[in-house]
Amino acid sequence: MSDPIALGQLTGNRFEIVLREVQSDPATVQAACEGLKSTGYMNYFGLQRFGRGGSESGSHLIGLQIFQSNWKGAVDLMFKSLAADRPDVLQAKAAYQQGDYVTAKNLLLPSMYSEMKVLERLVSDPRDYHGAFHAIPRSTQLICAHAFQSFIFNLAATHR
Amino acid sequence: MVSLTSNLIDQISPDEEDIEAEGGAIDSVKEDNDDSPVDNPTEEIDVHVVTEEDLAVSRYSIRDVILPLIGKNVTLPEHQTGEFIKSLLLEKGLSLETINRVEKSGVKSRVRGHYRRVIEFPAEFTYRLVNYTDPNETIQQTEINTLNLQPQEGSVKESSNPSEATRLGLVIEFNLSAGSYATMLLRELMKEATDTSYHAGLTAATAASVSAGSARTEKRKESEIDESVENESTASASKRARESECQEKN
Repeated sequence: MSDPIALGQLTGNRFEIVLREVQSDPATVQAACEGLKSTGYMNYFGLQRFGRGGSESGSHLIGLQIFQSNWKGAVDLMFKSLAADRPDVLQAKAAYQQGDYVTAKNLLLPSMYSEMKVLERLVSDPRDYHGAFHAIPRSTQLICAHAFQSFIFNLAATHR
Repeated sequence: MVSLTSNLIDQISPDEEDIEAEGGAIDSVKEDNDDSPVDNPTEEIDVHVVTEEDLAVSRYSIRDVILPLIGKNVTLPEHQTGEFIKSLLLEKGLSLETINRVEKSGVKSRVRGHYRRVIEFPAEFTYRLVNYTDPNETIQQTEINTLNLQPQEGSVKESSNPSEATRLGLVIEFNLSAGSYATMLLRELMKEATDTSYHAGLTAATAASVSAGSARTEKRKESEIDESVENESTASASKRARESECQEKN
């Protein structure tokens, strides 16, 4: 107990969850719980793994671009316009899509750190998509790669 | 499809340094030490391809079956799902050869292959049904309430006055392995209950759901936000349970 905890030492988590407005009858609920205990459940990655873009430009799609070494594709996905985007974000993305990296950079929200790092690189070398993508924090790069792994895993597990 | 032959099995040996090759098809996946712990899982996985002999002595169960997370030096299972993975990768212009190609730097050099159990069993799983009336009343003592020394309100018991109790709640507690998602467990639990009650032809559920407002679980709210990726890649276990029943009869 005297050593500090390091990343990767986690063995598991305990959850306490309250479900309200249960619509089924108690017998059904009991059967469901008992069934879960005995059969377990598919160990899928949850949707938190896949980022905010969902099917349109989720992290796993960027991850695919990484595996394909398609750096322009990866960066383009980061700037893909989404239905849920705010107008100012859409403006910034539109500037990128038109190749106006300087304007895009100026229109970025302060929270768009990865996009900022990308545009900084593209402003100095518009063709260096590899460098631009790798200017993103390493942990963020890996999140995308792992999201792709997770997506393939989920599909394979379903097939199984 | 639930036959265990040619599956990948996870045999983490108790002594992590002692990874033995057991005739035939074991690959040991060793991790390099040049990256930060954030990038690498710290456990070493001893991967074994299940053989007919293993099957004969029931050495493994469905709990041990694993599938790969695609990356460098990963082993594919030797059955249809392995082929399925290969074809999935192929249609995306990828193959194990291209993935294993050595990259000197960049993110691709840091993406390690790894493995994950296909089925998760919650441990120390307890559940209790509760009856309650006020949608906002506290059902389970939370840590914050305990810290603030607030008494647990309306501690509802199953034996409450039945004519007053109009709502049914479920409190569940369980342990999951690191990396396993409670949301996936809930999805399975709630879907299964719904399927069953549908078959039973309940009408009360439909009537009760008219009082919309708080008529959602916390988790269900979250999952409605972006289910597209989830629905694309997953299937419910009630389907799987039916399939495995058929398989075992064969």
